[in-house]
Amino acid sequence: MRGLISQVAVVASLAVMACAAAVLADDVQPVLLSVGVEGAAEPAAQYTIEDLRALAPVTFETETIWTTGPQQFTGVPLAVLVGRMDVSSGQLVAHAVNDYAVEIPVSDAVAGGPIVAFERNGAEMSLRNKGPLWVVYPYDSNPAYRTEEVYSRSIWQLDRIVIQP
Amino acid sequence: MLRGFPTVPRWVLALVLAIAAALAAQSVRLGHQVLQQLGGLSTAATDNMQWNLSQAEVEHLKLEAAVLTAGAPGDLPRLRRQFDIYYSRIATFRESPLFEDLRQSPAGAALLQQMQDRLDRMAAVVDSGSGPLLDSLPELAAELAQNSGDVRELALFGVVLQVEDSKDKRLKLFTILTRLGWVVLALVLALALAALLLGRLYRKGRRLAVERSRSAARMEAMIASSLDAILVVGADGKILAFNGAAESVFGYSSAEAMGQQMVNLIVPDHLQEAHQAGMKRFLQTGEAQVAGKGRLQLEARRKSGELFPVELSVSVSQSGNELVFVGFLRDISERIAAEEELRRARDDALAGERAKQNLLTVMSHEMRTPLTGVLGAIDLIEGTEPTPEQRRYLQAMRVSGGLLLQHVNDVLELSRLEAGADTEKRRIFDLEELVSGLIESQQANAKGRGIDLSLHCSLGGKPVVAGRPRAVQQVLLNLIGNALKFTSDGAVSVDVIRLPDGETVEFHVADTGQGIAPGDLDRIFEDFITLDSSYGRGSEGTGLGLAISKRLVQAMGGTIACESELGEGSLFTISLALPVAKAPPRQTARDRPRQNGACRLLIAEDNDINRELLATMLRQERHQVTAVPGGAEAVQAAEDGQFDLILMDISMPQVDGIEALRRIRAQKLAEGTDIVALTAHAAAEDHARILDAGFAEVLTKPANKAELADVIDRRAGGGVKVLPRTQSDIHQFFEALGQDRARSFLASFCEEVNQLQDGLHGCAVLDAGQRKEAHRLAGSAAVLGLADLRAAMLAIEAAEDGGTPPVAPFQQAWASAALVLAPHLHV
Repeated sequence: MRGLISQVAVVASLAVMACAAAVLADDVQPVLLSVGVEGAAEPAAQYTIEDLRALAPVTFETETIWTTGPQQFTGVPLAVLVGRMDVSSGQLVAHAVNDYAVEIPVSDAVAGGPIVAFERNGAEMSLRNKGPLWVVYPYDSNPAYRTEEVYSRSIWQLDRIVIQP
Repeated sequence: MLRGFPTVPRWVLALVLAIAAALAAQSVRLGHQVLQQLGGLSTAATDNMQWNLSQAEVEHLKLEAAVLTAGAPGDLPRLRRQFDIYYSRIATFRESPLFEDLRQSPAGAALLQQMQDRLDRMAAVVDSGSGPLLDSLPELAAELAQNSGDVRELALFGVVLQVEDSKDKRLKLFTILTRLGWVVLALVLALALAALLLGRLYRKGRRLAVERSRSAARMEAMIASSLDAILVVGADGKILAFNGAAESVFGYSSAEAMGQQMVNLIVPDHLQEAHQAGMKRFLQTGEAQVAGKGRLQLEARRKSGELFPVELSVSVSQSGNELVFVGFLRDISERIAAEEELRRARDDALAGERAKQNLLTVMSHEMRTPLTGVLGAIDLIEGTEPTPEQRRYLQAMRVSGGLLLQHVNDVLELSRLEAGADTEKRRIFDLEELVSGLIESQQANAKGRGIDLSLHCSLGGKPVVAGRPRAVQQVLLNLIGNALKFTSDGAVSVDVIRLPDGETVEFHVADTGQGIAPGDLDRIFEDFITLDSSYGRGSEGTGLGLAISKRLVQAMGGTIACESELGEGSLFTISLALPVAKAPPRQTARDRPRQNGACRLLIAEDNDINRELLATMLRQERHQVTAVPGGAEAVQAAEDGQFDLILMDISMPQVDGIEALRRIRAQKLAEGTDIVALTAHAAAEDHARILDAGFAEVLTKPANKAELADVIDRRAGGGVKVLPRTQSDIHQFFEALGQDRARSFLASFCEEVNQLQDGLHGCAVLDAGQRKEAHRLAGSAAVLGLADLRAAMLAIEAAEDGGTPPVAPFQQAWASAALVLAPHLHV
């Protein structure tokens, strides 16, 4: 356990250093999301907030089990991100900043399905507020999305996706 | 409705099924809820919460590690990120509905608040910049040390919440399952009830079906074994059923007949149109002329084309929209033939009877008319001063003729009575007088035989009755005559008693004679019966005396009976309804013009001889006679002159007697004058017809002088009083003297009477010898029971000197007496 924690701590500190470097670079936009294929050394795609905003984000309103009252989310459909990777089956392993990881079937990435939200109620999300990226399903519009399985896939503080084709 | 199967009303079944359906819906709804609950349980809704809670502890530990290991500004971003992650986790507790229960519980809320406050304080430190943060690290570590207890407590809270949540859910599920159980139980019960009801209905239906098929089988057997042809015909006229009897009656097989138009098959051509019209009318208006009207008789046609009579009964059977006619037909050709045969036999028998009746009528006419001539001619020849020898022969002719007439009369009387003739009208008469006269007339006869003839009348002082005197007289005379005949040296008593009912009179004629054997008692009233001792031969020679008596009594509505013991005597009893009547005033002489007791008479008779004889006879009685040969002449005569009585023949050419009477009455030509019919028709219906036409009475030809005198006396108020004719009985005379002596006495008596008659003829004054002779012969007549003759002779004896001797009554009485004596003169 200790070993694990220390290992996590090392990784985290490395990431924090990278961020700090980016912040220090000032006009260099930090990478919010990197998408890669399992086994590849380099990520296939990396997205800054500007990159994501350029990918035709959608907006919907829904309630969640983690928030109080209706919330408006804006983000890039997962389908768009997957489409850019040219995969149609398999699993996406979504990783969070705190090393939480969950598998999302590629088949979930459909139009009207989950988005990688970057705005909540018109504002970008901070890390304290489950940001900067949050996989959100339109829970209200489809009862099938109101299951524990989908709730577990609704990963917040997302920072990378590894595709297992 | 079958017994043992209470009716299940349909609504009960419908209600049960509706309840079952509602219960099923409810159970489905509850089942869905259960599934939801189970789904909730299976997906461990609280995993997320548990994860969050435990993750909070992990994030806390990571943050604590980051704080403890931080010492240089380069460690700070990692610390800050770890703080943000921890902050985000705690924020979730504040916001997420999952932790509503946590937030609602006072301890939880306090804990959360405490942790939030701490977080806020730490956030202020974390956000304060690198220098101050580094300085505050120990402080931060202290906060976190405190916080670790809270985080642990929070995680424990989660466990408690989860347990409670699970318990709630279990309870909820249990409640739903319990409810579902009840609903399912109720549903099962409802379905069971429905199944029971359906089972009953099914059993009932099956029972009904069995019953129906059984009765159908019975019906089929009945139809098949019926002796009558049975046809079932639909509203379209097509044959639907055709039984075995129909096959044999009509000659078509069932296969041939089925589905055919009945009208083409068995209805004769001449009835087809009426049949079609009748069917059409019935189908349009429902008005039936054949169906349901019971048995009808019609004609039908066989396959061979033969027409035959059938008895037919049709009924209409309506079941729902289907209308069928059920016809029962019976071939009655044999019955009709048998009926025809019977009718013919009856007609033949009736025709035979009529022929016999006609023969009698014709005989009466054909025999009486010439007899009238013969007897009348004898009367006339006697007035032409014949020699004594001729007179004897004439007397013999008269006696034989009279006997022949009496035989004919007997037979006719019987047939008239047989035909129910009631020629004599009811009259009011003095019964006691009638019976006394009768006894008186028989006294001489009785004395001659040494018989004490006695009469006891017990009519309660009311001797006048309503009835038929002649019939009563004839019957009594018959019985008394018989009693005298078969008694010698004994007694004959006649009792006339009115019974207490006031209506019935009983006549007893008892004798002490030889009596009748028991075996013969039943036979004596039969026709043409003569017992060995000639008993019952009250009417000479024919054996019809008692038969006629019985019929007369029956015609009067009475009874006649006989009791007898051989050697002891006989008792005849007659019961007649003879009600008491008020005596009519004595007829006084009518105030009509009259000349010396003579009457003005009109005679209409087409037979010349008879007319001449009748006129001569009446003129001899000093009546003024107008004789005409036909009806028209009679009407004319009635118009021209006035008459006290009209005697009218019925059968005359052109205008007959009835028509003549109608004209006379219509023209009021002879008001107050009676018209009496003269006819040879002795039949009862003729008499009734004649009396209905308006004739006062009917005289049957040949009418002798006595009858004419009687009717003239009664109807014209004139003429000569003639004593009622009585039959004399001389049997006892013969028995007293012996056949030979009696016959010789009788012969000499006849001879002497004839001599006296000869002597008196044309004699204006009586001499003493004649008077003496008359007196002597009167005694003899009395012995012979010839009361009329005796009276006539006594009248001659007592006739006044110088006056015309009353010869005519004497001749009349002698003529009658000769008829009685004639059979005894010859062996």
